[in-house]
Amino acid sequence: EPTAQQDPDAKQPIDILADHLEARQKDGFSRYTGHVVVTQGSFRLQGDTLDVYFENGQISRAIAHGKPAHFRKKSPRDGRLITGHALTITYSLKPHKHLLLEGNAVVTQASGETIRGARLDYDLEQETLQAHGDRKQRVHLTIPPQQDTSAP
Amino acid sequence: MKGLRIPRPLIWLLLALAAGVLVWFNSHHEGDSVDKNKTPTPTNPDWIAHNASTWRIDLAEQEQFFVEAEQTTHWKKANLTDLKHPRGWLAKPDAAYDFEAVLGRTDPIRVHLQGNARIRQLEPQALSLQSERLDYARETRLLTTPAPVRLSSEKGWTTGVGLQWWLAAKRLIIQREVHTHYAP
Repeated sequence: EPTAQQDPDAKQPIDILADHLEARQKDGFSRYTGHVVVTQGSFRLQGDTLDVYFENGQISRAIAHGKPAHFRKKSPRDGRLITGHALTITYSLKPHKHLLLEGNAVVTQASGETIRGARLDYDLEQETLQAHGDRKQRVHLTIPPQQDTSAP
Repeated sequence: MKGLRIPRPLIWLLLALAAGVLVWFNSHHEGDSVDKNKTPTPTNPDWIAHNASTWRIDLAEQEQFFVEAEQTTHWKKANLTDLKHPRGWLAKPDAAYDFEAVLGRTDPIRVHLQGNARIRQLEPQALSLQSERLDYARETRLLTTPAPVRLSSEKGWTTGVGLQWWLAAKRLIIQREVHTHYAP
């Protein structure tokens, strides 16, 4: 079981930019709409709308919808960029920090490896990825050819 | 000499022109004191008080309201009150607020705050709102402003332009240019 890397992004403040905001204090819910951009350190999430859920004054979940929604983040392990997009991206902090991509989901590692599926669950702490297909979209992994370093 | 007969259409045209000039003049000559907010200031106030405070307890509405101001000017017939540097608080069973501003104007329907206006929600959750002007409709407990706003809480802040805040429903909308900064 790989140990969880200390994620430098986790300590950073979160900034959300949008055209419009509706907040419902009683429900612990805020909806941002229009050119939504969320940043936290190297993590960046973009979408058309963002639904943010609070528990005891803390963000517990944020759901971005887009055509598609995009994310990018530096790997805490090697600092290389990971990107992805899907119709819905859910950023959850419980039970562990992870990104759930649903609907034409794609994640691309810095090495060029790309994985597609109906649902991709990317654990931000363990840096593991679970891919799920469905009848319409099977899991599809693309590994780029190794760069031939021995060439003269 | 026969009376000068002005054709009727010409009369209507002149009246329309005069009305248009009047509307244009009014919109470009608002006083610098309290923004009239569409209720012009009547002349000859009934009384003026300095460093006065008012404490109102409404048992039916279960509401307490307190305000003090450097100068309070009241017009009985219009039931209008202008306040300089008003400061005060409002307590209801489900929430409590305090407020202050450079200028204020109250009538039976509305409270208008202007000049570095600030309202703080003390309960249930600390939330502070600042803007250049704020309008509070008593009946609907709706707070609005077309101006830039800044909302601050212990976790961070949100800025934007244009606000509607339904205090009773604890629901708010910021209409444009939203930026939230949240420190977990």
